[in-house]
Amino acid sequence: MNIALLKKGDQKTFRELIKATHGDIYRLALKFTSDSNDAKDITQEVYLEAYNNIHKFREDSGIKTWLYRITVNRSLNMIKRNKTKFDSVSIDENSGEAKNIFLSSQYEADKPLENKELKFLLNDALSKIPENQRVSFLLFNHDGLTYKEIAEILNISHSAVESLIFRAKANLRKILGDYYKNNYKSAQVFKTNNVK
Amino acid sequence: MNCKEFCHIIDNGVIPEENNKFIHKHMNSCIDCRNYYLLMYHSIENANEILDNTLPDSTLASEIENFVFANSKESKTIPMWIKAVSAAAAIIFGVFIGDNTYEFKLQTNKAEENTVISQFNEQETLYMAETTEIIYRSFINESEDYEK
Repeated sequence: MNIALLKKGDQKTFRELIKATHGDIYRLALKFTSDSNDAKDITQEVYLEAYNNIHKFREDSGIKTWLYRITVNRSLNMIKRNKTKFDSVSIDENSGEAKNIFLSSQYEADKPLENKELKFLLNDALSKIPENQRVSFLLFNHDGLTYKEIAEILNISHSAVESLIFRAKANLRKILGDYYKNNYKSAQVFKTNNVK
Repeated sequence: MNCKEFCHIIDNGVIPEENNKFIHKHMNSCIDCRNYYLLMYHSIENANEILDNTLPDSTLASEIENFVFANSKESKTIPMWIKAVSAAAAIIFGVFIGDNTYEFKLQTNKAEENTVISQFNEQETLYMAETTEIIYRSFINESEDYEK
């Protein structure tokens, strides 16, 4: 990608940038918001901000890293702006769904949890961990971004990223473990009493 | 491997290579432990597969292009010739309005002056008429007195 042309405002080069990266930007926004319309809005805003502020791009990281940084900021802003909406989704839908999943699992004890069910539970658990841990975890699980790239996106040190991801995983295990113990009754009984 | 050992390994968050085979063997025979593994290990370690990862619509790229080029600072920048023409038009309009206002004010002043003059003339005429009438009456009265 010719950065010099981008900085001159060349529309053809910017179109190439959009074509090459919009899928990744959209999927990252979708991971944050879990809503395709919100993700689409964020993606459009990201490219508009990038086009208007391309002269501020210092080239000390890749253009995609820079776009990811804008995406993270935009996504967090949208979540903060629509806090009521995201909170209500988490409490009313995901938690309710979490209970339903476990209740249905009680009745179909021989059925393994499906990806759709795991997604609801994981999203709900993610909404309960601190923001910096959630952001690091989502970036780590986005197209194999490395610790170094995540550190550049978040403007923090390599070791801070490692620590945040470690703590995020530990917190998620704790929250998901609580779900399991509180809702998956047969398993709870099994775990505490019926050791094979 | 029993369920307690299985859960203990999963709770640690890391499955040692040597236990991999036993873990999978145990999961195949115990659905509860399989679900425990899926929830506590698989969902966290393979979040990329589990979280929303759908590709965008094929039209998204062109939608972004249209949005960006229609809303960019560049598209909102007004060309210099439009600015110059607008400024000239504003000056001409200002002069036109100013001229008309000045003329209107002059005409109003003139009309006011005429009104004052006409009012003055009317009062004077009335006064003269009254005076003439008084003189005429006094003359008539004097003549009648003389005849008597």
